[in-house]
Parts: sequence; C-alpha cells; structure tokens
Amino acid sequence: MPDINTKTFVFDNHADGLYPLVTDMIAYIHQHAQVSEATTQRLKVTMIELLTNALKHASQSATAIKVELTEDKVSIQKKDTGNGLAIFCHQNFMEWPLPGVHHTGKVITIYSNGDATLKANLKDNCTLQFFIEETENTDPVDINTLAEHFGLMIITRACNTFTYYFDVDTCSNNFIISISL
Amino acid sequence: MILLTNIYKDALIGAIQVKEANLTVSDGFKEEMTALIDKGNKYIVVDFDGVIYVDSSFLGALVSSLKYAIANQAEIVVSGLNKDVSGLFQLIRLDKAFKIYSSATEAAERKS
Repeated sequence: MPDINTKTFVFDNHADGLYPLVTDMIAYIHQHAQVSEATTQRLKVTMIELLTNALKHASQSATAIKVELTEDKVSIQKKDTGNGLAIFCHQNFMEWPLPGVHHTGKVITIYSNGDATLKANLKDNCTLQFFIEETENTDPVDINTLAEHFGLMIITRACNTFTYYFDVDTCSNNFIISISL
Repeated sequence: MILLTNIYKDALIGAIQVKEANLTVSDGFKEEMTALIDKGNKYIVVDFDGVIYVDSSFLGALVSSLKYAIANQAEIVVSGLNKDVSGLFQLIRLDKAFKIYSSATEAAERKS
C-alpha cells in the first residue's frame, strides 16, 4: 500500500492570508516529497489562483483546501459553497447541476486568450474537466485577442488535470487539480 | 498609490510598491496606468522588483493597460520579474506580449 499524506488547510478568505497559506502548503509538500523547482513554481501558481478564485467567488467566511500527496503526484482540492462555476450555453448562464442528461463527452468553450482557447469536457451534469486547445501560433501576439481574465487558464496550464465537480449533496463547488511529481 | 514613478532618460519608470500584486490592488494599478498614459507618457516601464507574486487579476489589469497604451500609441514594458513571476509570464505566454528586462534602467536604456 503506497504512502498517502493528506492535510486540510483552511483559508480565511482574506487576501492577507493568501501568500502565508501558500507558503505553508508548499512547506507541507516539501516535508513529504522531493519536488523540483519547476514543479514548485507550478504548485505555487495553482494555489495562488485557487485561493484567488475563493476570494472572488466564495461567499462564506472560510474555504477548505485539501492537499494530498502520493508517491507520484500532488492533488489539491478546493471546496466552497459560494457561487458555482459560471458557464454559458448559447449565451445562457447555466446553473449546476446542469439541466438534462446528455452531457457526457460534450465540449464547451470557456474563453479564448490570444492563440489558445480554454475548453472543458463535460463528464456528466455535475463534472467537467478543463483543457486548452492551441490555435494558430501568432508571433508577435495580437494584443487585442488577449483576455483580461486568466485564472482558470493559468491553473489548466500549470497542472496535469483540472476538474470542477458540483456536489449536489452539499451544494459545494469542488476544484480538483493534480500535478505529477 | 501602487506605483512610484520617476523619469529616467526617455522612459517613465513605474515601480510597484506592493509585495503582493493581487486583486486588492489591481483596480488601483489599472487606474494609475490609465492616468500615466493619459498624461502622454509613451514608454512606461512597469518594474516588478520586490514583488513576490502576481495573480490573474493583476495580470488582467496589466493586459488591459497594454491595450489602452497601444490605442494611444504608447508602449509598456516590464522589468524586475522574480523567477516565479517570470515563469508565470511564460506559462500563459505573456512573454510574447511584453518586452521583459532584468532591470528598470536596462528597460529605459533599451527604448527604441
């Protein structure tokens, strides 16, 4: 049975507490695993954006961040009961769980940013997995095609898998990422 | 005030005065950048020396400022990125949108 180390951290949803918490989570990971500098950078930007997402969208006073280490990867799960992930279908705002049943395999576009588009693969009416579709690589980049919101794209680029799951039992939003060690 | 400004040669250097460039200062930063562009500055160096991290909100404000600068025939370059911030620029390819220099004085001296 491989070793699994798990710890749940609590974010008080104040900006002042963001970076100290990131530092604590990185220290916890370094206690239990050999992590390269490049992977540490990816972990940091992912944590910063997950916590920034909580600052923007979580309505309650605290957000739980669960960090789990196995032999070959780090998983981080952010759970809150704030506003659900905002997605649109034909410009209509969609509520979670998504209505209807025929969602599996459907791909939706979240937003475009320069030469990349953030998309998501719907797994079912409560789950989606983000991915990035690269489009034509323009050099120099057309500034006017750059988005002014990057959070989800940063996380998607920084980690190996990035999943959103709406838990109908607790009405909670769960952002789950994994990064290989 | 988010930016401490000074003129060096033909450039205006705006040194970020906060260690955490995040959503609590992004709107203020954008307003200050807009004011600097409106005053007619054509080459603005945003110096990140001393900034420990940058979040997506601040990057959004930086990109918004760049669009406004270009619409006003001005240029924004950045300097003083630490390893984490530099890695973030590369991760989302903002290194293609901004000229990046190691220091503000180097950025000012490279004005074309």
